Amino acid sequence: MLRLILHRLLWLPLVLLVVLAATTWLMRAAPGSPFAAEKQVDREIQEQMLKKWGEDKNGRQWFVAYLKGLVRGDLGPSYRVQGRTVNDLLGSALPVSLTLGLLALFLALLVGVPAGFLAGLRQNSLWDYGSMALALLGISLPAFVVGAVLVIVLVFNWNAFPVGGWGALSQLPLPAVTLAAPFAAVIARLSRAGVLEVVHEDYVRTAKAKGLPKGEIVLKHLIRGAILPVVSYLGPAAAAIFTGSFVVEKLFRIPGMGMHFVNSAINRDYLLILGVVLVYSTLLVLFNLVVDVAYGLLDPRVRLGK
Amino acid sequence: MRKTLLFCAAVLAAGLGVVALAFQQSALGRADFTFTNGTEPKTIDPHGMTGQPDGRIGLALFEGLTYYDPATLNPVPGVAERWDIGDDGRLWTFHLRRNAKWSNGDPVTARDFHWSWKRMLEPKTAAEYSYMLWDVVNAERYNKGKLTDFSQVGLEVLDDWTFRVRLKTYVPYFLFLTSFYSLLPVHRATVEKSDAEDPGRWTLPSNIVTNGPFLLEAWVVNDRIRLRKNPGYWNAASIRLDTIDALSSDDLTACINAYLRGEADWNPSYWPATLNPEILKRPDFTRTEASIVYYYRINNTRPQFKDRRVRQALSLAIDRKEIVENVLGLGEKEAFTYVPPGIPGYEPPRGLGYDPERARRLLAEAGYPGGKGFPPIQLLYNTHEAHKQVATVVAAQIEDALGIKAEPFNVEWQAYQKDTRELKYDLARAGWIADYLDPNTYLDMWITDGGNNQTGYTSELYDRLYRIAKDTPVFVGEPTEDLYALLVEGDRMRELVAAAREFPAGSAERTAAAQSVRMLVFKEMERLLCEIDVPILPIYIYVTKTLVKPHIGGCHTYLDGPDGKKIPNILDMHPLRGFYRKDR
Repeated sequence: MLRLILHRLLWLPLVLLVVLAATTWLMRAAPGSPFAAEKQVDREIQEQMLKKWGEDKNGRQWFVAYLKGLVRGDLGPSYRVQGRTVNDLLGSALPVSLTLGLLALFLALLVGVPAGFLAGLRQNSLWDYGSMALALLGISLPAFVVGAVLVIVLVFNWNAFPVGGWGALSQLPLPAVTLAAPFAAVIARLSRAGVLEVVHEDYVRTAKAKGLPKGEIVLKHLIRGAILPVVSYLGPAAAAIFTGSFVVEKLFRIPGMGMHFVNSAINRDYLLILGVVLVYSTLLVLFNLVVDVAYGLLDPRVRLGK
Repeated sequence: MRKTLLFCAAVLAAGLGVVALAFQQSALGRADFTFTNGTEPKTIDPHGMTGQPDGRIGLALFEGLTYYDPATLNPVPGVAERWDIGDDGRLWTFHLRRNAKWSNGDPVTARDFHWSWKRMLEPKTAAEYSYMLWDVVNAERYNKGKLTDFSQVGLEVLDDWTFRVRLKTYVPYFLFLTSFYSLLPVHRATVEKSDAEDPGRWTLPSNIVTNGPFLLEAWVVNDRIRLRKNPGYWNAASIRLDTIDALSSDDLTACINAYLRGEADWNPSYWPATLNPEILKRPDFTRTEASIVYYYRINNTRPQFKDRRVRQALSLAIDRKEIVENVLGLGEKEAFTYVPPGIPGYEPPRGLGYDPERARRLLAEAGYPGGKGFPPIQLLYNTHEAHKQVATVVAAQIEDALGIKAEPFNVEWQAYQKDTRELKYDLARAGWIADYLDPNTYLDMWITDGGNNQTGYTSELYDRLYRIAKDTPVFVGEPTEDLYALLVEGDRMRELVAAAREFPAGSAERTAAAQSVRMLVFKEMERLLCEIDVPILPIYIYVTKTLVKPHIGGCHTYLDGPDGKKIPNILDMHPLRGFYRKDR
């Protein structure tokens, strides 16, 4: 187990390097510049701006300079939000997205896992059809529809919540529910599938044959196996949910990571693009590692590092 | 199993801890006045500002030599309490008030303006709007690195309270520029300290030193900027709000939701166009014409557009009325000329109008009867629903009237800019907004190789007229008899020039008389643009739309004009210093 963790962590810098290099190449291949403006400035001024922001270097020099900064922990300045560094921007946005993401993930698990388990245990019942139909809706409806419906009903009709912003507890539930909905749906479907797979396993049949009470079978034997698909999904899901959702953050005016993700690309805010990519890929690698470790703990058939 | 549960509980507890922490930091409460400011400001360093969201904040935090009176938008004394103008309008001497202070207690002096404008012109500052100062003697050369001795630039500190500016030419709108956000002063010691240690950081709330009516209390990126009344401001008695929140959001739905739910008191047109029919009916909605023009550039370098009759035909084939009535429908005005109406003293030419018959004749004369043999045209626009609708209609009109195949073509914003700049288009949509109320802000861009020309249009006559417009009070050798012969209103110009030359050089009368020559020169320039050479196709004049709550005062959609008349706020400028609450 320890070997696996060490192994993965040693690979991490290399993975990040490849991701950053690919991103750099892609973003610089896209037309445009961070300083493009509808009002064209004179050539001399354009050159001054490129020089000031270190954009007069060629691709390789630029990337090397970036890596040097990165080693010192300096992600560079933002071109679009001047006076702030990428460290500043991510430093204030990440906790926001993390807060919202944790809440949403918790909600998604709280709703998704029990719903999926019940559906799996009572296959083809009314509960099964009902919850799976809901899950289908949750997966198919994009966040801007779910969010808009919540706003119309709960904000404008019932006056129950503020319409957006960040800084009060009452501003949390709507974006959290919107963010959680598709994840809850996927989790419900995965748990149901997990249960159906495990129910017919020999060790469950054995437990039944031993005459164990049903509740004990579910808690002791079924859950462990049935939760595995959910666990493997949680890795990438957590990385995605913690780095924020552009749609949800825009609609509810939340100053999180999702905004930076999309806006940095639109504005060609090169260093910010690399910053968010760095955070996202790091989280992705780490959460996948956590998932693999959890696998080993949950499933006696998987023994890591052997 | 128990382990897993424990683990989950630990994760949950950690999560809730983060929630609590994140929230403790960010409780600002409701401000006296909140508005949706559109996209996150790019900077609050005046010398880096380029847009309205930045400018609104800049003019609240800093004060220039003059500022815009919120009710009239006329420049009124700011840090300068009075000024003298001499030498044919080229020498401006500003006398500063003694009681203007920086927020750290330092007095605001002529040296601050000298240093700040120098900073604006330093090549290493790379200020995008530095051209605002290029009318100053040698400023452009210094800015572009062609001159290194700053003492040759026409800025001079006579003493702490007297600042002198020498301009290359008479600039009738110079006080608009001294009120503009690009020319605001910054606090030297603060900026220099930051430049030495951590560039750019002086704009953070903890570091910034300002001299305007408001102080920067907080700035949360993608959330809000909180302003608080500056008790040390020399004119603090005129400021009636204690706190202002400028919400940053480029999501139109989020902006209108915030307004409708009362979380914002003022929404200057940030809502989805699809809501217009609903919003039009609201009593808190106002609109007014704006000094913004929507137009198409024609790529004058493509062989099929080289003949000016083809370009004239295109302009004559477009039915603007159908566009403003059926596509836009908010009271936009059809534009046959380029400079929007409302600039005092300026009378634009008539333009070509809508005449498909004549358009077909011209196209046939140019060698394409019925559009035969004319290559298909693409109408380039940056991806946006509103642009798409206009492009679709314009393409259909060209096709119907001229028999030329035309189709809309869209690319993402950055690619659109690149294609336009590199002249990789047939027709391309564009818009232009006034920086100040003078035809110059619209017409100087079309000179040969002008940075914003981007059509390949080049005309000796146009360039010559432009040089005259820049130099009218002085008239060194221009205009001359051969020029009058080239102009539609040459005779009238000859009379006006003779009348102006009657007055002695350097006199205020001559400056005033020369102003009417200048306006006529601009009219002839616009005639070339819209009637004769037609490198562009003006389509319509924008309206600006505003939603403001009834308990808010000081939002002037209509300004107090001369003789007590109300005139539209065509610059769409609403200085924050003018707002107040009627209910307190």
